[in-house]
Parts: sequence; C-alpha cells; structure tokens
Amino acid sequence: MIVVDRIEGEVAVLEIEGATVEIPAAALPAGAGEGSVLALTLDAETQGDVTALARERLERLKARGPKKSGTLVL
Amino acid sequence: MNVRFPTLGLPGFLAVLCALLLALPAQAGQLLVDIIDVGQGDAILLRSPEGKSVLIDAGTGRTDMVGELQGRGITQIDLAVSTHPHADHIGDMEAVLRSLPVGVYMDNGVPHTSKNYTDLMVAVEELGVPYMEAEAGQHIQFGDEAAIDVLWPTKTKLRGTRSDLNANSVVLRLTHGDNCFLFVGDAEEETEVRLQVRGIETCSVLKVAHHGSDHSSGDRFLSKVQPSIAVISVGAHNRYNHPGEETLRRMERHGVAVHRTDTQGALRIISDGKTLQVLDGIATVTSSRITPPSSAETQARLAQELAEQANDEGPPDHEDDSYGTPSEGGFVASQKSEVFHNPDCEWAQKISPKNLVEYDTYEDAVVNGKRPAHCCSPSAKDDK
Repeated sequence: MIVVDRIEGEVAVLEIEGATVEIPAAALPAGAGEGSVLALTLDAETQGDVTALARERLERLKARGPKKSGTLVL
Repeated sequence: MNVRFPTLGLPGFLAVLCALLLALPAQAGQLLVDIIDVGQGDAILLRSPEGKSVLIDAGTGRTDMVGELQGRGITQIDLAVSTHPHADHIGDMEAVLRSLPVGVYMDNGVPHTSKNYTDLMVAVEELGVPYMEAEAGQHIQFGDEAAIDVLWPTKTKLRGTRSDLNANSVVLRLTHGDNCFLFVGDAEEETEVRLQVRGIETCSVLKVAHHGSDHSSGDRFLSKVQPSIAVISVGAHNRYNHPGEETLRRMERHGVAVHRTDTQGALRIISDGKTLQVLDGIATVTSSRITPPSSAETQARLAQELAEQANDEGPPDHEDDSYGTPSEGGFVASQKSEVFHNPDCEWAQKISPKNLVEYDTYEDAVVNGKRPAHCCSPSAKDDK
C-alpha cells in the first residue's frame, strides 16, 4: 500500500511499507492529497510502447552513426 | 625554506593553485584519469597527452557535471560513453551533450524506459551527435599514445540476469604504454564470467564495478585481472551499503590498493606510460565555487607539488595557523531522520551521537536522501 504521507510544497512524501519516498507533487494522480491511498500497478502496455519508440530511435541513430567495425580515431 | 603568501593567505593560495592545476592540460606524455566525485554514481574523464578527451558516464542528475568538466579546462568531449542507462550513470549526460560539443556518443544499445534515458536519446538525435553502439572488438585510437578497446557487450546481449542493464554495461580497456585501466560500468558476476571466458588480460587499474556492490568483483575475476589499484566511485553514507564489506575484503585478499571517492573525494590517476600516480581530494572548480582538497594530508602534498611546479623554493609555511585546521561548515543529521541541520542548530545538538551522520556538503546530504530542516534552513554556502 502506498499512502501520501504529506505534501511539502512541490514535493509529495509517499509512504511505502514504512519507508518514505519523495516525488514531485505534480506527479500525483488528479485528486490525490494527504492520506490518499495509491496503487502501484505494472503498465505493460505503456512500457511496450516506450520500448518500441526507443528501439526505433536507436535504429535511426545507428543508421547515421560511424561504422561499428574498424578503428575509431579520436 | 618557508614561503609566505600575505595577500591570499594559505587557503586562498591552495584554492588558486588547485584551480590552475585542474585547468592545466596533461603534461607531455601524461595521461590523466579523473574519477569525478559525483556522490553515488559514476563520471570518469580521460585525457590523452595530446588533450583528447573521453567521458565515461556523467553523474547522477544532481551534479554540476558541465561545471566539473569546464573547471578541468574541458571545452569539448571527443567521445562520451554511457556504460548503461541507469540514472546514476546518465543523470547529467543530456546536460553535457547540450552544453559541450561531443564528437561521438556511445552506449550499450540496450534501451531503457526511463525519462532520463528518453530525454538523453532525444538530445542525441536532435543535436545530430554521431551515435555508436558499443560492441566487443571495437578499437578506439585515443591520441597518439593510448588506445581503448571495447570488451563488452557482445552483439548478442545478456538476458535474464539480475539486471540486464548492468550485465550489458560497456566495458572498456584503456592502454597507455605499460599501464592499463579497466572500466567496467556496473557489470556483475555474469559479465565477469563471460569476460574471463573471452580471455580478459591483467590490468593495473580497475574501476570497481557497481560502486563496490557485492554482486561484482568476484575472486576469480580479480585473480585474472590482478589490479594493483582499484577505484570505487561511491557516495558517502549511501542507502545501498556500497561498497560491500565482502568486496572490500576480496580487494584486501588480492592485495589491491583501494581508493574511494566517498572518503577521498575526486581522484586523479596520472600515467606516464610506465608508472602510475594517484592523487586524492582533487579540488572541484565550478563557475560558482572552489572546494579545497578534502584532507590536510592531501592539501600538504598538493601544496608542495604545486609550489614546486610554480618554481617556488619550497613547501608552504606549515606554521600558518589555518593550516591543517578542520574547516567549519558541513551538515549533520540523525540516521533516523529525513532532515539535515547546520551543526550549530539547537536541534542538531539533540541528536544522539550513535545516530549522528555528518555530510561535508549540502549535495552529499541530499544525494543521501536527506532534505534541509526548516528549523535552521541549511544551504550550500555552508559546505565544508
């Protein structure tokens, strides 16, 4: 269980299993405030999208970068 | 013969000379390896005798990385390497790329989903920095006298490990004459085993993997590499208990001289191709402040070396009242509390000695998870 322990200005202090973690208050879900109980879920769908975009970018960069073989002279 | 500096005073003299030393290019034939003190993270700057520069990792995102580089006289980076995309290694890489010309950007080709990684790669693309995916077998000519070989990862990446990002860390071997430096990122035991299978050679200096975590630096690996010097880039009082006690014991068993940024500050290793010299407490010069060396012993050594370099006639006056006196400042906290205080705060006085934790700088306290207490509002100007 994750509880919003308090909000200190722009910082939200979350309590997770007794330990506290600070995050930007702006990152809290809409409507969350002191005492709110949050859920930690695995978002495989979004993760897949982000990974796919990252891989596409890597391919673009590799296509234009120096050749991987041979000697790179600095 | 004693030398007096009536206008600056000894601390001022030391600060100015340290600034000059940092900004100086390597002397003829000297290769410099700076382990920049970024707290709990990595940032390593290599400079060839000709002035070529390679940056391996770039701090935690809480570091004035650009200031650290500029304070060392760096105006461009020939090769920037992210060993792997964890935030304690790439935290300030985007800032470096956006602030300094970078010749080539290299990483391990394993994407991450974090905002740090995404923002960094967007910058690589936007800025048109040539990108290179590291692959074992690549050879990099680093000026006329030094070379860097990529030892890891291979084309087929490791999968299913405790941390695939760590396991596929870029591993680089820098050679300069008889000297060798092995930079292993956060590579763990699975990677060490594969490097041994591939025939890793001995190497004089080991940048210890993963801030000295017990997941790395196994006995067999150390037996193969046989380093005489190990450097650990690690934050003071970090939450992860790095470096691990077992790792330190293994280093001791293998007779390795260990140097750590948490206790010695920024480190510099100087190679002339035959011998190695390790300096600690290397001052940090940024646009805003100059931090003198961390220990009186280091101050004394640096002062002597610098005074000699400046063609002075001998070491500075050791009888100066301020010399060797612990500087005021710094911060304290209870290990049971989230906040840190000025040492003279009335609430600081109430901290039980067994729980007392000290930090030299505001940044150290913050990096270790503390926030400034409202009662005394500590600020960075009170850094030691």
